[in-house]
Parts: sequence; structure tokens; C-alpha cells
Amino acid sequence: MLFRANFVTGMIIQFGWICAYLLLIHILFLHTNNIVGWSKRDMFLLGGIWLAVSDLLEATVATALLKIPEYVRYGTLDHILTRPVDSQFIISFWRFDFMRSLMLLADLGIIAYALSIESVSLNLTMVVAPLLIINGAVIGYAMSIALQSLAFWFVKVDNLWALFNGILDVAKYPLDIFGKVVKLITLTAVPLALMIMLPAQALLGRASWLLIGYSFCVSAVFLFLSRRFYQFAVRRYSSVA
Amino acid sequence: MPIIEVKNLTKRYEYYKKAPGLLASVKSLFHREKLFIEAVKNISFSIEEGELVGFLGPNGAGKTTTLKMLSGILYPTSGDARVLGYKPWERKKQYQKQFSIVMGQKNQLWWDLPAMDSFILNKEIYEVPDKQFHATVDELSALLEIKDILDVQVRKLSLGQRMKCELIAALLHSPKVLFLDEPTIGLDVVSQQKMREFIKTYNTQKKTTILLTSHYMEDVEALCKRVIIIDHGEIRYDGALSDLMDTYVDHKVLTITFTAPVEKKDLEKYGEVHEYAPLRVVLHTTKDEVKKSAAAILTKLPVDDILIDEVPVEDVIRKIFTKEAPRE
Repeated sequence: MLFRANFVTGMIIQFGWICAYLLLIHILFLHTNNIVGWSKRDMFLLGGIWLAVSDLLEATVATALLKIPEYVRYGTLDHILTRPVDSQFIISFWRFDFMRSLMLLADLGIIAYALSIESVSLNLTMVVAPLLIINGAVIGYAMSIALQSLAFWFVKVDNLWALFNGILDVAKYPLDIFGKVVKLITLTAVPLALMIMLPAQALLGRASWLLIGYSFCVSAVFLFLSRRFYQFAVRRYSSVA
Repeated sequence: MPIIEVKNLTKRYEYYKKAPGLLASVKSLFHREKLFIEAVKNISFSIEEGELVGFLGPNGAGKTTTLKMLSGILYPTSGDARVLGYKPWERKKQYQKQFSIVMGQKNQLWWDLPAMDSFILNKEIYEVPDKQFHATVDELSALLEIKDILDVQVRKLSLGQRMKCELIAALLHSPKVLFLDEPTIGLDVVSQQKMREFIKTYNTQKKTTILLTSHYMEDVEALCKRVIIIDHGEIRYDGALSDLMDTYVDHKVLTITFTAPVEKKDLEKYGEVHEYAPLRVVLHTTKDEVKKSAAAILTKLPVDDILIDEVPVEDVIRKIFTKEAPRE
């Protein structure tokens, strides 16, 4: 926030992106009532949750994780590794994007608006929906730190972050539009369905408790594996003269 | 028991070779030549509590690699080291709270924020009590004369001011061991002098064990009674700086100016002529002969001024680096 013009223009651009995405949904639903059983309200809800998970990641860890290849390339991990704080913690939370945290309020606004378009019958799964959004961000974090840790071998891995964002982008659409194989992948190896679609289904009262329990287990496993991988990767750090 | 103990420490780096040019770049997509270099080869030494040791070597000798292994930044390829009883690369919190490293060419301070913000962050990371933190900042900023710049953005500070702030950040938690990697690099002569005075005072008062690398002989001469010289990853000398001179230097330097021109051949019987001009000469004479030679020159030649001096430490070090001097 020391660079005020950057802060303000960043917010304007983010609002612009959100408006463009919502406009796209609106235009799509001028021509149809539903997409594989997802109504306009459902799509706004899905979009709002996708934005919320993305902004939660961007606000907390994304800006910092993007720097890992730079740390490896320029040897700036030195001071981080000498501090009596877990280096993964510092690397992950070193930079907090305040602007993106403000955008979370807008995302919650979109979710609230979506829920107001059509009434939703109250369901217990709605209570865990906020936890599922956070859980989605946790899975996203585990995947992104594992990907960024490849920088300890390959140094420049900018394209991997673009790949991660590209994959995450797919999750703003209902994954039911894809076949069974893709659906299976999005429930296991690349759990996009658990990150974005499941919180939306929970808010709509369509999520099973089994799947909800499964998603928390998946995030625990992903966190554990990504942690072990990071610890293995950081041993390869060779600094810079 | 030594505070720092290094046994047969080795570090090998792997790297890839690539020829210049576009074709070579395309070729390297499919095949690259992998090479290895041993930056540190089987070194061993130990340092007692409170010592201030100079760690010298030419560029690429292995000084910084050694410091980085001792601070836990790098894992060694083989060998062992203990600092304060800990293996540095295990990165135990208890060890990290007791040592600090200052690298002259790397910043730990936040670039866009005032130094005080970085100090407060370090205070929280190292769990320094409030009272101790304020006392330490006051004391060190007064010693280094930078009280008035602690609230200025780091990127607006001069290099000398930045280095002083780096030093304070590193000392907030009163480490028992301090690694200084070229702390005076790029500083002007006044700032260098102030840094040296500060380091010496700090070492004397706090009994902090300090391992210092530097390319400036003035740093070494002013601060270190003991030096370890490393070259191509191997230790070439480990001992007192004064003993280094005795081991590798067998002569003294006479600088003489004359009131009337003197022939070179008239000087050669007194020693080895290193620089010659009719009114000024620099002679190297053995330590045993220097008094006799000086007395003879004063008696027989038209001397205006005569200076008997030691060989500069950097000349000795340079000889060791260029392998002109025999190994210890």
C-alpha cells in the first residue's frame, strides 16, 4: 500500500475482470435456462466461489509462492533459511496482498447476490460451505507449492504457475460438462471439483456428507505430501556466489 | 570445547556447460554437459569462544560456501561440522536463535520499508523481549551513529547506512556466533573504519565468536589475530597472523630517498633492489641483515630519509594465492 497508484489501479482492474466474467454468464443465459442442470443462479454462485477461492489464494500465498523461482535463481533464500521460523511458512506467507483481500468482500457480495436470485431451502451443508471454500484454497496451496518447488531443480518454472492458473480457470465452469474420466480426475489427482464445485453444491444443499468428509481428507493428504516434497526440494538449494 | 568444529567438510556443486550462440542453445535443449566442481575439499578447523578469525581467500576459494554450510544454508556433500553443538544444516530453531550471518552483497532488510520495520519483524521472529529490543537498538544505533535514519525507507539509504542497519538487524537477538561475509565491501574508507571499530568493540564487549571473510587486508589486520587461508577449496594456512608473517616472510622493506643520485650497482650489495630511481629506492633485505645494511647505507650514501617496514600482509597473502610461497 506504499504505492498508492498501484493499489488503486489494481483494484480497478480486478473489478473490471469480475464484471466481465459476470457479464459473460448473463449473456450465456440469455440463450439458455441451464447448463447441465446448472441455472443462472447456480453459475453466479459457482463464479463467486471460484473468485473467492482464487482471491483467498492470491491474498495469502500466491504473491509469495510466485517468488520461489526468483529466490532460487538469485540466491535470496539464504536469509530465509537461517531464520528460526519454518522456511515453508515464511516463503508461503511472506507477502500479503491487501488489495486481493478486499476483493474477497466483492466475491462474498456475488455469492450473496446469487443466493438472492432464487430461494434455496435451508440445509445443514450450508453451514460447512465457508469451511469448504477455505478447504478449496488449502488444496490449491498444496498444489501450487508442490509445483513451485520444482524450481529447486529447474529454476525457471514461470509456465507452471500459468498452468496452475489455467487449470483453476476450468473450475469456474460446472465440471459436469466434462465426461466421467475428467470428473474422476477432478475428484482425485487434480481435485478441482472439491475446491470449487463442492462448496457451491453445499450452499445449494446438493452435497453429500461423504463427499464433504472426503474433501477434508484430500486436503490433509495433499498438504502432507506437498510438505514432504518441499522439504525434499529445499535440500537441493545451492544459493548463489 | 570449541564453539565451531569442522571435520573433513566437502561441498561439491554440479553445473551445466553450454557453448555460446543460438545453435548451442538449441542443442542444449536435448543434451547438456554436466560438470562438477569441489568448492570445498575436506577442510577441518576449530574455533574457540570469543575468537575473531579472518577467513581469507581469492574469489572462488570456498569462503562463502564454507560460511553457508556453517549457517545451514547449504548441505555439505560430506564431512561434519558443529556450531554451538548443533549440525547447522539440520536448521534447528535452538541453533538459529544463537547465530547470525551478515552478507555484504545480500540484504535481509525489506527494501521498501524503513529499517525499523525489519527490526521489529526480526524481534518477533527471534522472540526478543521488548525491553531488550529497545535497549539493543538504542545501543547499536548510537554506536553506529544511525539513530536518525531508522525510519527512512531502506532503498533511500546509502550503502554504508544500509550495511549498518543490516548489522543491527543481525545483532538484535545477541547471537553467540556471527558470520560476516565481506561486511565492508563497497563502503568508503570512513564507513569501513567505523565498521571495523564497531566489530572490534562488539567482539570485545560481548565475547561473540566471529568468523569474518574479507578482501580488504585492513579489515584483517585491524580485527584478526588468527587467519585461515583457503584456496581452491583447501586450507593453506591456519594460525596467528603474526606467525603467518614469520613463516612466509624472511625479509624487511627499506625505502630510502637520497639527496644526490645513487647508482643502482652501489645498492645491490645491501639487498634486492625492487624499485629504483636515482633519488629513491626500495630494497628488500633479510631480517638478519637489515640493521647492518641500514647502518652501512646511512654511513656511505647521501641519505635524506630511510624507512624500515614490514612486508605488507596483502603481498604475503598474494604469494600464497599465486602459490609463490611454500605451504606451511
